[in-house]
Amino acid sequence: MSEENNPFKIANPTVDAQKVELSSNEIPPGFDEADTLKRIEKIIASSKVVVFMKGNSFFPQCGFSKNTVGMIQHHNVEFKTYDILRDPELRMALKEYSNWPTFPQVFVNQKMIGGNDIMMELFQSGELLKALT
Amino acid sequence: METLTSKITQILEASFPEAQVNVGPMRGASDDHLEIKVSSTIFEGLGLLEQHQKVMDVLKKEFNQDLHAVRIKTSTPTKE
Repeated sequence: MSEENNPFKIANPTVDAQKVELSSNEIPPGFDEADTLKRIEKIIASSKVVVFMKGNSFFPQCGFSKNTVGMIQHHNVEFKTYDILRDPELRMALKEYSNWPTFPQVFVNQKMIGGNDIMMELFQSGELLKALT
Repeated sequence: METLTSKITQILEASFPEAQVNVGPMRGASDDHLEIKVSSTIFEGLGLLEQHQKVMDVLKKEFNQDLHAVRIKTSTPTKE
């Protein structure tokens, strides 16, 4: 089954991603023109907590990304997001950078702490707030 | 036809020969979502991220093909 017809993909796939409005905590795509590695480094340095996700906090495009954002919001921690669906080049490079093939990816203090599974484990064990601060 | 579940099981068993591997469908999700449990001594002393990274690393190629998402549970045999 393709990515297009799986139930975790919640948004209308016909929506043009370029027309989706940025949410207030979102780093705009194409941020900085330097090479991809430099861009990754700049993005993760732009906030203590950065989530690379599908969509943004207002319009997450995947159930896992939505879930991760929800857990961070639950703890009232400030964070920024980056929509990897709008930046295929960065999306590919990030998989190598963090040695992690899926999204969301959560970075705290410029270090990757995990994807949705690890966020869930931290959340359930009560360690997430500490991990985010 | 080889199912994705058995394909992933084979990859994990080949990569972690001493591990106990359990792969199944993710409840409420499509066929390209899997739940993976790996219990192995190689995880001893590693943080959660490093443990998951070890599993993710051997599945990298599959994520570019027919695998969309996984839920991973890692453990060490003594921890159980």
